[in-house]
Amino acid sequence: MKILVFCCDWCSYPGADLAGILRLEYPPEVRIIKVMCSGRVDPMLVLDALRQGIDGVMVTGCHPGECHYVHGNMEAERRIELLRSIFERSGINPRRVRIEWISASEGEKFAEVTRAFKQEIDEIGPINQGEIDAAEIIHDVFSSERARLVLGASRRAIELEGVDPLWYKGVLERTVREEVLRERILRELRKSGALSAHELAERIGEPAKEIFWNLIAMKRRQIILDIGIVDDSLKFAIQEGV
Amino acid sequence: MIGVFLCGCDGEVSERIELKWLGEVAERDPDVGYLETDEHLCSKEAVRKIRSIVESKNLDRIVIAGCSPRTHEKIFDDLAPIVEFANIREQAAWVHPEKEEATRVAADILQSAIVRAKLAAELEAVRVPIEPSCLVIGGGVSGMQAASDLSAQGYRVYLVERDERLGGRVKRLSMTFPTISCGFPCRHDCPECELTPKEEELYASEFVEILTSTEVMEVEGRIGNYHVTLRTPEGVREIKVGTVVIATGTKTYDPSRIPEYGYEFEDVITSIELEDLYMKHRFLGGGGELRRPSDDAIPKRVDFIQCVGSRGEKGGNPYCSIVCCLYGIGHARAIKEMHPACEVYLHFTNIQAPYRGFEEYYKESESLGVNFVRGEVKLVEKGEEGLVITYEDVDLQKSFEEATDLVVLSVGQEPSDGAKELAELFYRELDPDGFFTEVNQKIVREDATGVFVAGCALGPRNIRYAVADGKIAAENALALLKKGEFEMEGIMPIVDDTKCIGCNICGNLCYFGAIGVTEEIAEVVEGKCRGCGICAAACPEKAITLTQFDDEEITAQIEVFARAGEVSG
Repeated sequence: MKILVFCCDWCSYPGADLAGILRLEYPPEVRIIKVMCSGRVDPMLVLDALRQGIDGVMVTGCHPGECHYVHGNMEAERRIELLRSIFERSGINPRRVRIEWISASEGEKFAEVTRAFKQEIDEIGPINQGEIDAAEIIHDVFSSERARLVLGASRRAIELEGVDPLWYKGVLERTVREEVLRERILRELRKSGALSAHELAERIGEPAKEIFWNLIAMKRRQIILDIGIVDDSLKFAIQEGV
Repeated sequence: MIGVFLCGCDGEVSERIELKWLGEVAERDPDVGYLETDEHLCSKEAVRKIRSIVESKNLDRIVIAGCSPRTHEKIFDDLAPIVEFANIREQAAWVHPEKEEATRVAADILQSAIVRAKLAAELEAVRVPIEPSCLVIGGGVSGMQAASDLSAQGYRVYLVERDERLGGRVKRLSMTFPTISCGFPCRHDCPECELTPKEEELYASEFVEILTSTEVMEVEGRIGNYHVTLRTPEGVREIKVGTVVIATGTKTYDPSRIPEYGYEFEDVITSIELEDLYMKHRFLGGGGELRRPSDDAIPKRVDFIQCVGSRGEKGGNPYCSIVCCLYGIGHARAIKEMHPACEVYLHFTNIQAPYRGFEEYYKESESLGVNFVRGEVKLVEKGEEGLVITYEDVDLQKSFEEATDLVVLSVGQEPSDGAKELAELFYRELDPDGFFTEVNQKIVREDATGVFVAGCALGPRNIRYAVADGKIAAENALALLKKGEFEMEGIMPIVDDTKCIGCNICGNLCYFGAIGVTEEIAEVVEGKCRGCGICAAACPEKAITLTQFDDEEITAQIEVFARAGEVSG
C-alpha cells in the first residue's frame, strides 16, 4: 500500500517533523511531498498519483484562517471536495483523497490523521484497475481548459462577484462530469473509429440522450464530426488532428 | 553530477537506518557520481570537507540526507549551486521503529530528493532596490524610538500618528513603575521627563517628518518601494518609502463590558482615568494628592480591581496584559504615600511580576501597608454614601461587603482600532486575539516584505519592552536600508506568453497582487511574489511554471514513490 501526503512548508511539514521529534509512530506507507502551500496542489497531481497506483492521497495544510498565503488552503479544500464528488460518480472510491489541517505544533495530529487514513485505505482495499483507468480519464479532464477554467474562476465568482456558492458548486460539478463523459466518449471513438450515440451509450453505460447532446457540443467545438448515417444511425468520429 | 552526503547524526540516524544500503540505492542512480557518509555532517570539519569535495569533483548538485531542512538548511544551502535535502531523520528514522521499514522509507525519500536535484534549476535571485526611507506608523514610544534610531543613521523617516500628539499612551501616564524616573512629583510636560525630550528631538531632526492627525489610507507596492497614501489634515498626500515600521500599539479594555464592576458610577474609574485625575490636580496646583471625581474629596479607601478584561476573567480577553499588575501596585503605593491614612486594597487572582526588580517591588508594597486580597470581586454598587464592594477573600475563605470611596479598574490592553485594516493593507496576518503575528515565531526565515512590527501591536508590552521593540524594528529596517537592495529567494512564477489567454484567474487568486493581467496577458510583479504557487495550480492553460516546486519536479517525486516497491523489492 502506498499513501502520499502533500505537506505545506509552513504548517503541516513542520507538523510532520514534530511527529518525528516527539518520536510518534505513523504508518511506513506514508510518503511526503513538500510544497510551499496546499493551494499549490493541482488536482492533476493528485490524479497523477492515483493513476500511477498510489492508494490514497492526502493534502494537508494550515488551519483555515492560518494559511501563510491567506486562502491557499481554501483553494485546496475546494479542489479536494470537487474531486471527491466527481469520484463518487466515476467509480473511484472518494475516500482515497482527503484534506486535513495540521498546524506546525500538531505533531500528534499528523501521526493521528495518517494512521486514520491508512486504516481507511485498509478498509477500502488497494486501488483497482478500474479506479486507475478512471483516474487516468479524470486526469486528462483536469489538464483540459474547460474544467480548469470553471474551477479556477471559483474564487472570483463566489468571493468577488457574489455568485451563490452552492449554485457555483453545482455548475462546477456538472461541468467536470460532462467533461469526464466527453473524455470517455473520445476514448471510445479513438478505440473503435465511428460510433453512434446508442453504441456509445451501451459501451459507456450512460443514457443515450445525454451522450447525444454531448456529441453535438463536441461537434460544435470541432473535436468530432458526424460522418452521416450508417446502418440507420448517425455516426460520429474524431476530427482529424485532435 | 550529483553528490550524495548521508549523515548518521551521531547514531540518531545510523542506528535506525541501514545507511550502507541507502548508499547502494543512491549509487544505483547513474547521475550520482559521489557518495559520502559521515556521522556529523553539520560539523565545521564536515562542512569544510563537503565544500572541498564539491570543488574537486566538480559537483553542481548535492543531496544532503539527514535531519529536516528546517533544522540545518542554512548550514548547507550555499555549498553547491543546487542543494536538495532528504529528511530521513524526522520523517523516517524517528517515526518508524522497525529498522527495515525506516530504511525503506528513507530510501524513497532519498531517491525523491535525488530526482529533485536532477530537475532543479538554479534559482536566479531576484534583486529589488530599496528606497532609502521609512514610514513609521504610530507615534507611541515604540514608533518614536524606531523613528529616532532610523533618523540617527540619516534615513528619511515619516512618523505618522493618528492622534494630535506623539507619545501614545505613555503621554497620559503621570508616573511609571517601578523605576519612578519621571514619576512623582515630576510633572508630565516637564523637560526632565523622558518623553518630552524625545519628542523635541524628533521634531528637531531634519530627517524626520512628523505627521500627526494623519492616517494611512492606501498602500501599494512591495519591499523597497511602497507607495503610501495618507490622509493628513491638509489633505491627501502620497509618499514613497522603502521600509515600514508598524507600531500601532493597543487601546485599553472598555470596562463597561463587565457590568458588575459598576463602571457607570462616577467613582469607578479606569487606571488611565486615575492618571488623568492626578494630572488634573497637578495642573490645578494641588499636586501630590488624589481627589475622587464625584465630590473632590480625598478618598478614605481605594479598591483596585486587577485583570479587568484580561486573563479570561469575567469574559475578558484570554491573555495577560502584562502591565496592569505593576501599575496597579505602583498606584496603590503612590496613594499610600500621598495619603497614609487612606486604606488601599488590591483585588487580584495572581500577581504577575516576572521582570527584574518587580517581585521585590511587589513584596515591599505589602510592608508599606497595601492590602492584597486574592479573590474575585463580585459586585460594585452605589451605597448610601459612596460605593459598596462585594468581594471574596480566597485566603480567608470569606466574602465581604464593604463601603469604599473609589474603585480603580486595572484595565488590560487590546489591539488598536484599525489594526485589522492596516494588516490587510500590508498583507500581514493577525493572531486570533487580533494582534499582529510575530514573524519568525516558529520558523526562522528572512523577511521579504520590508514591513516590521514593533511594540504593543504585537501584544501587550510594558514601556521598556515597547521601546526595545522599536529599536529592534529600526535595526531590521536599517539592515535593509543599508544594503540598498534585497535579494529574494527566487521561487517565482513564469508566464508562458504563448499559452496565456489573459483570463486573470491567477490575478484573482493571488492575495499579494504579485501576478495578474494588466493588459493582455498575465504579468509577474517582481518583489511581491511569495512563492506559494497557487497561480500555477489554477492556471487553466498551464501557462504558469514555477522556478521551484514545479509540476515536473512534483510528478517526478510521485513517480519515485509510485514505483518504489519495484526498486527496493
